Amino acid sequence: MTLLAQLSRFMRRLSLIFSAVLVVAYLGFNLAVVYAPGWLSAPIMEGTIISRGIVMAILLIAGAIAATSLFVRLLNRRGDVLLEAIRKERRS
Amino acid sequence: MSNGANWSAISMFVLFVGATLVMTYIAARRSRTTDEFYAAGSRFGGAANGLAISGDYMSASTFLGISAMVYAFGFDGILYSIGGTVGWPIILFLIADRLRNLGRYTFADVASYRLDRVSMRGISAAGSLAVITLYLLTQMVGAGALIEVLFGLPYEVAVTLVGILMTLYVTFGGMLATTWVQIVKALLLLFGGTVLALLVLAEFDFSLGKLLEAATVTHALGGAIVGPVGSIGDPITALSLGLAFLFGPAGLPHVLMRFFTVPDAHEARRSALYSTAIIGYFQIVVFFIGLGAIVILAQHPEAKTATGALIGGGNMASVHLAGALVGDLFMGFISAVAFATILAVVAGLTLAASSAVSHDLYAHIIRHGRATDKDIMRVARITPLFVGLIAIGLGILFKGQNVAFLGLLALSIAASVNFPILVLAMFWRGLTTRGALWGGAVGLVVAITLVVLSPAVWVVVMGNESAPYPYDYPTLFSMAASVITTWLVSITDRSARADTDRAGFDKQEERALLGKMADG
Repeated sequence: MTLLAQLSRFMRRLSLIFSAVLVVAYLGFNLAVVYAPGWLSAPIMEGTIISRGIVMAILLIAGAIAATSLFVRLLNRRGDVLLEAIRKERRS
Repeated sequence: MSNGANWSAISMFVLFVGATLVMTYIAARRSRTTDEFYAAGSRFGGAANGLAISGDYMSASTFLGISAMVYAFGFDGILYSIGGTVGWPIILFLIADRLRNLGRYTFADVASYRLDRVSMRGISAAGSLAVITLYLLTQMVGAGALIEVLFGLPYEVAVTLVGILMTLYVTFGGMLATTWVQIVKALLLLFGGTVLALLVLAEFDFSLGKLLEAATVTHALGGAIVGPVGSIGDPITALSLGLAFLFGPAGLPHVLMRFFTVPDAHEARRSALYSTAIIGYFQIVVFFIGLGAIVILAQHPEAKTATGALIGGGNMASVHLAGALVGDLFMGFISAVAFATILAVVAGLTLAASSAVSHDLYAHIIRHGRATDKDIMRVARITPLFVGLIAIGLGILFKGQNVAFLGLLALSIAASVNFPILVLAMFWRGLTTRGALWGGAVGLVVAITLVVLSPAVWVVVMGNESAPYPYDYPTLFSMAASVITTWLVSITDRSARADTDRAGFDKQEERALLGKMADG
């Protein structure tokens, strides 16, 4: 496989996996709001009023930020190595 | 304060307008060529552009609207905070790199890279202008009403003022001035929101538990506000709303054009990362502000009318909170920030409209790519003038109308027309011009039809008994219709053009991955 094809496959796979996880997590949460409102309203543990829903909401937002950060890191690491290799190959 | 002018707010706003006009004057000297006008010479870094992108999205509806939702419903408000966040990672995961590498000024550049230039620019410009017009209309009507309450200015004066200022920024300052305005506004909004949230948390020893406890005691819905109270009650709405939030932002022309203000894909990635982090952070801040308003405004009868509603409407929750926690000066500051927010957002929309008209319609369709830079610049500078006039006209025409559903329609069209075209052009070899055209057209028609048949229009606006389409959001069906049509028409397309479209994919993929390096 050429370096370009490797880069293409790597980026497509990364895009697909990250998007799929986010879409499933977010739409799943929305469906939980419809089908399990009672479960979401229940407190996260005894003695507090903080509900599962509120904790999950904050985790979803924080998780979305963490996922973008991880995505950029992975792309910068592996993607830029491949790009550099392609640059060298093309120069020679 | 709804009667008579609010001078602390007005003076702070005049300060903001003065500063932005100085920026526009400076930017005007660096906005002479199309490259400078559309993309500020592509010299912004990822952090600055990330701030500007978040500025484009953190509109008055995010700040005032979501805090109002939390104030009214508690947990259900935070559903919109999550929704407002999840679209941004999608832009990074699917679009940012390829968009920057394949395009110059508008996303139509990408859609027409290997497909037929005239058709693709036409459908992309139509999708863009539809989204922009709807957004502009909601922003103008919201702005007029808001400024009437905040500053005590008459509605028509407020709308005209917004229209004139946005035209000035764009016509003279182009992308550079628009970006600077956006960055300043984003910083002010982040500062104001953060201070407000910290003040709220300080009242409750920085404990979310104590804040929630107090909110459930005060709120009319009581303990129910820690969980869903039914604003998303069925699976169709849950999925439609979800899809609009996930894929709408990636189809917004004024957001997409921002990715061309950075030099390369690497900075485009960083832009998306920064904007996601800033928007996500701000959504959480707004949640605390909304919860704080529930508790604190209960102790401030001066913020309410005799019936117990907030003076100026539910959207004023965060403004009244600023008054209650600090005083008139801070209330003035938050009001001025809200106005600045509207101004920056409409300026971004105006610039996107100017790019679609001058770059896509004029330069590529009317003049077949043979127009000089000078000709294009003339059209690019005149367009904002018309956009300003149209926006003022529509704003006055729709005074007092409930236009919230139009913002929703805009996001649905972005998700059902622009996004599928863009992402399929980037990733799917099999996409043909005919498929993209049919898919885009079907998405547009289905989205508009379903919104007209929905309760928000059929019942509320037109006064009928019950709506044929019982849901508020069309996205699940319009997006599916768009994607399925695109796929079906593309795979059965045996035209000569289709062969050219498919054959061009490898070269496009190379450019999408390598950027300028692909040019050798």
